[in-house]
Amino acid sequence: MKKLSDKEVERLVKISYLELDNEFINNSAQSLTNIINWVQELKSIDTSSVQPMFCLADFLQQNFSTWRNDDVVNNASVNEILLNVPEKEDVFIVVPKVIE
Amino acid sequence: MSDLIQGKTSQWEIVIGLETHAQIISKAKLFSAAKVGFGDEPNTNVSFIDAALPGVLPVPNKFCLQQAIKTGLALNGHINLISYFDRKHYFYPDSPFGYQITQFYKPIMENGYFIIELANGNKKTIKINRLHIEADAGKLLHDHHPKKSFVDLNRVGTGLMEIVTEPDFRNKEEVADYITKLRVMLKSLGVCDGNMEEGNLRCDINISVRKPGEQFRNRVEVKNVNSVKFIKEAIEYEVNEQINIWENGGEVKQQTKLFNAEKGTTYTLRTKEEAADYRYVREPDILPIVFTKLEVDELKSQIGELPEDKKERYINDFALNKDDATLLAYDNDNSMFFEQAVANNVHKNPKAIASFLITNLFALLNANNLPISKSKITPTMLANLIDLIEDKTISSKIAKEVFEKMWVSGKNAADIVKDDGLIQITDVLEIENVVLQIINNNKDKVAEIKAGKDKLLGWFVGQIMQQTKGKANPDLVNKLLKKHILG
Amino acid sequence: MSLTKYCILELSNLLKNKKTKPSEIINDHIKASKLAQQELNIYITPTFENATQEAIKADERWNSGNQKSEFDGIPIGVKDIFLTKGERTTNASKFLDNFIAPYESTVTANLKNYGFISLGKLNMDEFAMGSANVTSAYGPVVNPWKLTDNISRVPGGSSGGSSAAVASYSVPMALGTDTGGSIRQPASLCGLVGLKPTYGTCSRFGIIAYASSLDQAGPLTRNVKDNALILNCMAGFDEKDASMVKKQKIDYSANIGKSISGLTVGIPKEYTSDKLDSAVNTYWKNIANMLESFGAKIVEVSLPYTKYALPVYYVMASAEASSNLARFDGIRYGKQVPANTLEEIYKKSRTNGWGEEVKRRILIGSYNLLEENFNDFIQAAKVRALITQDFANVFKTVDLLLTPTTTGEAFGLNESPKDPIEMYLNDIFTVTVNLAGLPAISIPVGLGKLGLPIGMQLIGNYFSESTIYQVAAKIEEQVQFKDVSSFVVKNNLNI
Repeated sequence: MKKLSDKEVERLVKISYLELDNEFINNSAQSLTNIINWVQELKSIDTSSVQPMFCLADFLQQNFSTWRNDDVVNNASVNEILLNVPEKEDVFIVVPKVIE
Repeated sequence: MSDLIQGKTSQWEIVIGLETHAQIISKAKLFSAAKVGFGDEPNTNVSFIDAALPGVLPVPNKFCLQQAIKTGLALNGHINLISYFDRKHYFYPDSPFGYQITQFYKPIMENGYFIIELANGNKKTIKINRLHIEADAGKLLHDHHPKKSFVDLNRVGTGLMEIVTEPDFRNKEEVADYITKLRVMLKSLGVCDGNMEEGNLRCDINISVRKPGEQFRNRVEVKNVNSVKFIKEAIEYEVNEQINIWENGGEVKQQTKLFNAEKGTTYTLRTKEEAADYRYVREPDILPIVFTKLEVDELKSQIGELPEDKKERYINDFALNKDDATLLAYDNDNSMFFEQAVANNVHKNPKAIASFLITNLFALLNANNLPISKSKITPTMLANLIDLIEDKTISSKIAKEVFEKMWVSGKNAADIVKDDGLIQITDVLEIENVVLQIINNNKDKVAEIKAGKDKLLGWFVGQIMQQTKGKANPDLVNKLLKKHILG
Repeated sequence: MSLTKYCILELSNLLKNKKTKPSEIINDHIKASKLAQQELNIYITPTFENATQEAIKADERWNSGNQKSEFDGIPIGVKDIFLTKGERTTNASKFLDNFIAPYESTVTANLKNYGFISLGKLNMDEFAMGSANVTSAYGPVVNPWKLTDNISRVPGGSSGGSSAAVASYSVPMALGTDTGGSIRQPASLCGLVGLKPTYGTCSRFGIIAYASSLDQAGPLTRNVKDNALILNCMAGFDEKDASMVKKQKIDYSANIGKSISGLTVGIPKEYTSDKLDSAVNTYWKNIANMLESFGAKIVEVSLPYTKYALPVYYVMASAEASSNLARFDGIRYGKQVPANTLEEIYKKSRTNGWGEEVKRRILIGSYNLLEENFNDFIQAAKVRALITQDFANVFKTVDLLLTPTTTGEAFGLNESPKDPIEMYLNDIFTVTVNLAGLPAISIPVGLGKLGLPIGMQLIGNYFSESTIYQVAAKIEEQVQFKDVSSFVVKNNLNI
C-alpha cells in the first residue's frame, strides 16, 4: 500500500492553490491514498507497444487540424471583459501589488 | 582570444545556452481572433478566449504556425509534421488560464543549427535544440497605485517562438553575434520585427562556468534580457560572480535570476527548491498539429536568400567590403534597393553603387528622417546616375551635386546634367586651352613646382575646375598639367 | 388539461396545425416548472419571465408564417454548465454565484436558432463532478419518482436537474453534458432517453469544461424520436471548437422505424458484475432476446481492458479537471475573497468557492500531473488506448453493444456512499464510452424491484448515432414503457 504523507498532501494543496482545514486534509489523504492504490493496478499491464491516448484524435490518428485564419474579428469590448471582474479600476483588472 | 578566464586558483571556461523568445508577426493572436498590437488602450485587444472565460476554447492560427515553420527551416531544423500543444501550469495574473499553452513534449522543430562568426573571422556552428510555439502572457503595471498592480491583458495570447540553443557559447561575444545575426534573420524572414526595446525579442540566458574538461556545473538562468548590451553585461557580471563563489569554496545554486539594467547586476528571483511544478500535460482542446510535407516544402520555397548568404554573395560576387556588404544585406529594404539598382545599372558596377548608396543616399535619408522605402530617388535613378559616371558623362564630383538635385526635384540624372550643362568636358583641346591659360597667368607658381613644390599642382587643378565649373575630366586635367609643367 | 403531456414531436404538430401557440405551451410548462421547483429543486436560475416574452414573439412568428422552425416556441431546460448570454451561469457552484455569461454557448445558440425557448438554468452536480446531484451548492435535486415510502431519491448526476426537469414534465427536453455518464445515468434513474454523442459531434464552445477530452453535450428526452430530432438541431461543426470532427450534417432520426434484422448486437461479458441488481440482469437478457426475435444477431463479445476503466477514467478526468479549473482564480470572474496578497486571494477564493468533491478531484489531478508521477499518468493514457482498441476490435464484427446503464435503481438521498471510490463505482458501465469517445444511449426498459426506472445502454461505433436510434426505437416500441413519475401523476401533468 502506498500512502501519502501529510507533507505530500500539503504540497498538493499548495500547488493546487487551496487552503484546506485539517479535517478535509485527513479525509482527502485517505481517499487520495485509496485512489492512488487503485491506480497502481494499472502498472502491471504491458503497454510497451501502445501509444498513449490523450484525446480521440490520437487514437483515430486524424490527419487534419482545425485552424483559425489570421483575421482579426470582434475583440470583446473592455466592458465585456470587465463585466465579471470583482476588483477593477478604470480599464484595468486590479490585484494586490506583486513585486518581482 | 582565449575563451578561458584566469581566476585566482584556476582557469575557467564559460558555458552559455540561450532561449530566445521572438514575437511572431501576425494580425491576430495565436489562439484567438483578437488583434495583435502594441501601445493600444489597455484591455482592448482581448477576446473572451484571451481572458480565459469559462467555456472558451483555443483555436490555433495557422499563419503563426507557418511563420514558425519558416523560421525552423531557416534554422536548418527538422520540422515535425505532427506536433502537439501542451499546458504549462502556473498561477499569475498575467496568465489567465492558469497555464501557458506551449509545446513541451513535441515541438514543431528540432535539431537545427545556426552559424556565427568569431572575432578572428572563423565560423562556429551553434546547435539549435528546438523551436517551439507558445502564447505570450499579459502585462502587470506596478506604477499606477501604491498597493495595487494593474493587469493589462492586451499581450495575452500573442504568438511567440522560443528558440533554444545547446550550451554551445563560450564567451559573451559569441552570444552577441548570435543574437545580432538571429535578429537580422528573423526580420528578413518577416516572422518577427526584432524590436528588443518593446520586448518583441528577448532572451533567457543560461550561464555556468567550469574548469576545462569538467562536466557542466550548476547553471543560473537570467530571464528576460532585452538588449545585446544588457546580454553582454549580464553575462560579464554573472560569470565573475560564479567564479568568485566557486573560488571561495562556495557553490553556485541552480536558480533563476533577473538582470538589473541600472546597476548592471543580476539578482535571484527563485531558487531550484522554489521552482514551480509546471505539471506539463497535453492541451486536450487542440487536436494534434498536422502539416503535410507538401505544405512544408511550399513554405520552404517562400524563404528567400537569407541575410548571411546575401552578405557572402555581395562580398564574393560584387567585391564589396565586409562592412558595406553587411549594411546592405542585413536589411531587406536596403538590399532590395541595392539589387534593383545593380540590375538597372548598364555598366554593372555594384561596388560603385554600394559606395554611392551608403555614402550619399543614407546621408540624405538620415537628414530627412526617412526609411529607404520612402526614398525620393529610386534604384533606377541611382543606377542611371552611376552609369553617367561610368561612361564619363559626368565626374564623380558633379555626380554628388546631381544627386542632391535629383532628391530635391525628383528629376532623372540625365535630365539634370543636360538642363544644367553639367556634361563633363572630355575634349582634350578644350581642356588644354584652359590649362595653358592658367599656366601662362601663373608662371611664378610653375617655377615653384619645378623647384620641387609638387603640392602646388593641386592648386592648378582647383583653378582649372573652377574655370570649367567642375566639368573638366579630372584625369585629363592631371595628365595635361603634368605634360605642360613638368614636360 | 396541460400541454405538458405532449412530447416535442407532438407539440410541433400541434403548432403546425394551429391547435395551440407557443405562449400556451410555455405557460403550461412554467406552471409545471414552478411546482417542480418547489418540490424537486430543479432550477438554479429560472428564466420564466424572459421565456414568456420570447413565447409572445414566437406566437407572432407563427401567426405571420415566419416561425424559425417547426420547433419554434417549444420549451427546453439548460444544464447550468452552458453559458447563456446575459444570464447567470453558476455551474452549480458558489464560486460562480454572480457570474453573468457575456457570450452564448454554440449548442444553446443552435437550439435558439430553431426557436427553442429556455425556461431556465438547471441544477447539477457542482462543476459536473458527481453522480447523484448531491454536490450542488444550490442543494440536491430530488428524483420526481417517489414511492409510497416517500423517501427522496437521487435523480442521478451530474445532469440531475436535467433528468428531473424532463421526468417532471417541466420541459419536454433538457440539455445535459456527459463526461463519465452524466447524461445516461440520470436518464436511466429517471426513466428517460439520454444520448451521449460521439466525441466531437456537438461543440464544446461555451460549456464549462470538466475534462476536455471526455466532455460531450447531449439531449435528455422522453422518447427516442424527440432525442434524435433535438440532436439534429444541436450538432454541427463549429469552427470555435478545434477538437470537433468535420462531418456533413445528417438526419439522425432517419433510421427510426427501420427493421433491425441483420444487425449484430454484442453483449460484453465483462459487464456482468456481482454488483448488478438481479432485475437489471433480467431486463438485460430479455431485451437481448427481444432484439434477436426481430432478426438481430446476438453475440457475446469481450472487452478485456474494461476492468481498468474506472482507475483510468479517474486519472484522466481529474488531471484534466485540475488543469481546466486553474483559470478559476477569483481575479477575472467569480467570487473573490478579499485578502492582502495575491496568493491569499487565490487560495481563499478557491477554497471558499468550491465544495469538497471539486477540491478532492483537483488534488487528485494535481497529484497525477506531478513530474514524479508522470509515468503513471502516461500508463493510464496507454491503458485508455487499450480500452478504446477493445471497442475497435468488437466493432469489426458487431454494430452495437447492449449493456445496463446502471447497476440498479436510484438510491435515497441519504444513502449516498460516503466513500468516494464506492461512489465512483456507480459509473462503471458508462465511463468506458467517454474514454473511447464513442456514442451511447440510455433508454428506459421498465421498473425495478423497488418500482423505479431501469435503463439499458446501447453503445455504437463512432458516428453511428442513427443506428443507435434505430435499435433504441425498436426497444422503445416493444417495451412500451408508459410509466411516468409520481410527480407527474400527482399534478396531472400527463392528462
